[in-house]
Amino acid sequence: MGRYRFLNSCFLFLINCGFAFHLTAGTVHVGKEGHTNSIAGALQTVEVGDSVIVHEGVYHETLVITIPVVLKGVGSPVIDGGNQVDVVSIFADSVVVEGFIIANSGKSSLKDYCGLKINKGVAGVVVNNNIFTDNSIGIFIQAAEDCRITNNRINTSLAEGPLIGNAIHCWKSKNLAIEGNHIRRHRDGIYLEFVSNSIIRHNNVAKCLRYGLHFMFSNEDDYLYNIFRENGAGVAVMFSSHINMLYNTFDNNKGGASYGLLLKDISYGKIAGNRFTRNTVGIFMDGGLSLTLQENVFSENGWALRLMASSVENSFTRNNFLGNTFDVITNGASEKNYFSENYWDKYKGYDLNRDGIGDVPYHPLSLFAVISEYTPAAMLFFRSFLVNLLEQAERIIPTVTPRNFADNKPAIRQYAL
Amino acid sequence: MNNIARIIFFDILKSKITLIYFIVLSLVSWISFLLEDSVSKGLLTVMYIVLFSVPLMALLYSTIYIYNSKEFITLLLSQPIKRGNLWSSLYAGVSASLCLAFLLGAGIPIIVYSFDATGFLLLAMGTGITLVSVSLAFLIAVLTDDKSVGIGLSILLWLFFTLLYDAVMMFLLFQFSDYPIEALTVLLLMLNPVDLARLQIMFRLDISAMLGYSGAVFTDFLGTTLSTVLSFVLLIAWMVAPYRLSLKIFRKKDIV
Repeated sequence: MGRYRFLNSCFLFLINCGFAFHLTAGTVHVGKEGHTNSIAGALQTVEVGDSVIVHEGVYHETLVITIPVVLKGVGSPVIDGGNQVDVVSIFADSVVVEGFIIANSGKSSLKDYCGLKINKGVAGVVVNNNIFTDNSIGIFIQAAEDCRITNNRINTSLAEGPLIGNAIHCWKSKNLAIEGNHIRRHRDGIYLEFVSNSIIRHNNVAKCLRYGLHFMFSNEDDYLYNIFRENGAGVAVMFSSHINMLYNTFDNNKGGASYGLLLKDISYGKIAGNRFTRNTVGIFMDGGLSLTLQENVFSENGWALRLMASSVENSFTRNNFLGNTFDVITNGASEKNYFSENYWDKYKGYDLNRDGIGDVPYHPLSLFAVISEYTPAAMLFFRSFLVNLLEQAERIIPTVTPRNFADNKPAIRQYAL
Repeated sequence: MNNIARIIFFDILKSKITLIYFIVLSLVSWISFLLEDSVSKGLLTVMYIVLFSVPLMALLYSTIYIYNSKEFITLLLSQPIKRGNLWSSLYAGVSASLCLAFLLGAGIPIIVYSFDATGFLLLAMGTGITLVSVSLAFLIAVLTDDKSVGIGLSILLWLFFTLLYDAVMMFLLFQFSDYPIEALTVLLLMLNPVDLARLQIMFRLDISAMLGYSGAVFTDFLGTTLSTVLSFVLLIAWMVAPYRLSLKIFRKKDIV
């Protein structure tokens, strides 16, 4: 063994040299001490798989990337698009863009200008750890695959409605991973249209003008552990199937047309472990089919659930309903949805056999929720002595609220969720 | 004047009724905060106390107190004391003791559990309603010399403010629901001190639901600072007007 040790170390030395040579050979530095002062200039000299290291500074240029390169910013260099066209446009596979501040894309109400655009047919692009400011659209992914958009901060200070685009706009793409992004003040936070098999995780989306997350015709996607707060209209998931929504937080989405989660024609999904707090409507469901809603927490919402009659065969189990003004409102009469083992803090029943399940059913639809649905001004009388008396009478002898709309196994104790 | 107010204040404190009022208030408030799983539910329970029990207690107790101190008042009137002074001292003594019982009984748990705008609004509304009720009780007491009629009137007045007024308003609302009468309803409701307090507190506790209504009354008026200020102005009007009227009648009255 001993005599090979020297050879071994020689061999390792050679390998190391080889690596070092390879790295230095494929790296172009841009900036103060670099080879050039223009990123676009550097991009013309590089070959496939090379790295472009950009040092700090402000670069007034727009980039078109046509070969697979690694574009890395050191000390947060700024790429300023000067309010013209797309700032960075990617036409090649496996491009990595990391550590930049990408600012001032073109603004137009006719064309979709964006901070970074991943063009048609491209795959394997990684956009990591960038800051996007004052762009019309932050990141636009157009018919691409296997892209990772991670840990970016996307913000805009535009004030004119029509010029503000979505922070991350994805169209007709597959296998995307959108993770850990921090998004503020765009139109939609994350917009997905015809996007499948993608994962949206750990994003923090707040104060967007319209939806925090907007799904259209996007099947088989998962979104997990995201936080959506104070968005104009909350989160909308429309015309999609097989979507899992787990462990997200929907907080403080308030207004006449604002929902924590808006579900429109959604089928076969799972909504579990989410928290809906202080929203005007926790979940608005129109045309939901065979959804499983379990172990969610609904607290301090105006209406925890608003179920349209077109929603059928959905099951609500083991959810906590705490301190909502109204638990459920519906415009349908018959029992087409299944409620079981939920904890309702307004439940006043008893549990004689001590199995943790109340012995009398709970009717989540209150009289006043129904009345104020037809005559909104009646809300002015809410919580008055008179209304309390009417509610009690209705609970004993139901006349307005449907008898069969009930949770037959209400939980006595709150779930630890 | 201060002396008389002090005597009445301590006289009321010595009678066990305010003590019992204090104990009941604090028991209910503490228990509702301790047992309910969220502060907002505890606040709701305390709100119901403020809206229903406080006016009943203040109205009934003050009316009965005035009738019972008829001889005491007669005695004081034989002294060189101005009638106005005597009446205001009576008002100060009675309202101070009731407010103290409310603030200590319900106020401490409210401040412990909800040290924010909603908690203070609830306290202010409770105190306001106490003062309004005492004013109304004073008016009832000077209007009629018959004790049973006076007590009956105060119970009726309580029923009117907490139940009948809402019932009539709600009936009108449903009858005229085809017309834009939201603003008018709000205005009429705000003329009732109990409804006024309820609207203000409700807009703090159920804000999520309130924002769900697109009616301009809900978004542009209720819940704004203007409406809070207006509510306090109206509450003060409810305190001052009946009291001034009762003072006027008392000044001209033969003995009591």
